[in-house]
Amino acid sequence: MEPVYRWPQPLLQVDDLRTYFYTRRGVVKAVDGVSFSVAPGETLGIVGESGSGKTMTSLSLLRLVPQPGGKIVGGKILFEGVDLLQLSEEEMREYRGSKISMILQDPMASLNPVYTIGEQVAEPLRQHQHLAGKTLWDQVTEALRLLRIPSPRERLENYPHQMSGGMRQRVVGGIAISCRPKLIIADEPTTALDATIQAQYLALLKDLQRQTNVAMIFVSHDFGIVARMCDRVAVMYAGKIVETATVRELFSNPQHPYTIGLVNSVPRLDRKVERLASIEGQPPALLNLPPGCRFAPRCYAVFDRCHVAEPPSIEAAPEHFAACWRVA
Amino acid sequence: MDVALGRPELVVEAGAARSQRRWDIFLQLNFCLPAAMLLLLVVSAIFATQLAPYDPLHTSLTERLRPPAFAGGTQAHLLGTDKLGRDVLSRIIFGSRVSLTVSLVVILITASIGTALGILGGYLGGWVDGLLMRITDISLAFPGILIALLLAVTLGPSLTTVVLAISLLGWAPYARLIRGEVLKLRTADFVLQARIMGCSSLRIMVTHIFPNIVNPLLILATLSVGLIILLESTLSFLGAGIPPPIATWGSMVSDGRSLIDTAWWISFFPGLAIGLVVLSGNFLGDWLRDRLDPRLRQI
Repeated sequence: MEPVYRWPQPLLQVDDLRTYFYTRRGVVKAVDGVSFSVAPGETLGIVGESGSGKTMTSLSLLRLVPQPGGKIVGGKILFEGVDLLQLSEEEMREYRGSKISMILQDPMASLNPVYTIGEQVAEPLRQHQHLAGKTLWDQVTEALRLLRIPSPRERLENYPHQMSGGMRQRVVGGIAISCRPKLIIADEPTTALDATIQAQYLALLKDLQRQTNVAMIFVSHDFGIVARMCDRVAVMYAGKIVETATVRELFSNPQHPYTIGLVNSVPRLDRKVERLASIEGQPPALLNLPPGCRFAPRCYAVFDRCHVAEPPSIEAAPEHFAACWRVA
Repeated sequence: MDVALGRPELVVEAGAARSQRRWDIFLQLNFCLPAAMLLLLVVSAIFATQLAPYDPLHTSLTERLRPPAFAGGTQAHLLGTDKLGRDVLSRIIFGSRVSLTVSLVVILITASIGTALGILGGYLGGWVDGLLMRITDISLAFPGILIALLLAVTLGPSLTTVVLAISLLGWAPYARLIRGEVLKLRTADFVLQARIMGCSSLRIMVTHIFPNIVNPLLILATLSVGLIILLESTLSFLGAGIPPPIATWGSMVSDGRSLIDTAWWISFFPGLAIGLVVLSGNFLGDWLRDRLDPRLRQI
């Protein structure tokens, strides 16, 4: 067995995070007891299908759960030892952008059409570091150069609509990195880009991480991308993390039936497969969940206990946790 | 990098094509006619004393009820005189001051209030939005003339009363329009991105949302010029507006009412002025709307 690499003191430690939505029809438990940690410079992947709570988890970390309706009802988010959930809104604002920032999915929509990209990259720097004049514009140019935007000085005066999708997403990356945060949450940053640009952008992010040692939470539904980008992976299903392991461990030794299903559904070049495996059924509606394991209705290895009680997170191997009774 | 201080020079691209386009707009009749009309209004308001051939308040009973020059009158009174012998042209020129002042002040007041309330309601949502929009509904449903008459009776007719009376309900359309625009914008990713980067709600409303609603705001403001002038004229016509003998277009129409079959020019020319300015405002508003449409703007 290969040596287990233990990460140093975590930068971010999330404990039993719960984000609920209070709707007319009931309580939707979008994030229901999620725990994970991220070390400095590490990349944690969060994978899962749409609606599994990936985005809500990311937004919860910044305390930007959609209002009205959404609310973080419990848990702890320790960032450098400070519980973000205990901060006032003003104190929290100091963290956003300067220590933790986020890249959204759609580069077409996440830039303000009425401002030049220079202004938009400058905004967080003005806000958090109160820069102005030459220092400010040097920083802005530097941020754009980190994202390898060609001739950044000239590009500062461009409006978003004058740029291509790939360039815009780089600008969004530039905004996120401008204040040199310790943690960047990238929520499917390449979904809106085409395949070649996607590969470029991912390489760019990896490179950026090497240069700035920023930790990253990489949210995706694409196992291929996750395998390339991440050190560790957390698999989410219906608002819960069902399995956490290093990338290599997760792919070679998946424990949770859901993860096994996901891994088998990825097309592979090294094996001849007639038909890709799929997981039958649909994820459960998060409204009024039945007791027991949430994956039980779709699970091929289900047994009595699965319908009775929810499985806790069990250490299947060192640094490898799975929430499944089968593992116990 | 050897680029000097501050922001880099704006990249001028296709400068020739752009200046070409800039001149093109003067060839568009639906822009240049109403623009010229409104320019005339502004010029005559500013230079009324220089432009008007007579003192608008100067009465001369020997010169009363003279028809316009082209309808059998003299060159001395181009648009004729009213029943007190006051020069109609001079009174129209001085009347433009009232129209312009009232429109500008009212637009300033109503657009500011309406925009502020619209952004607040649209962005904050919840009970704030509910409350603000119910007040807006009430304002929209209330008969404006009634309020104005009530105000005129209690405060006494004056320029301030007119401005107050029109502004009191005039903000509602702005609030309604802006709120709708903000509702669209508040869920936009760039607003979320601004919050992610640590902007406060106030900052988002002022620096991220407001610039995105300037276009509809400008359009509505232009379109409302006509409405305001019409309202002011109506109030003056009803006697609840600016008190005589100050020349306003509305009161001039009102004055000539009883003589409409014999001395038609007393009512007709101020009426024509109202009509032209209102029409110009509407045309210019329409033109702006077409022009500022984001789908057309970036071509």
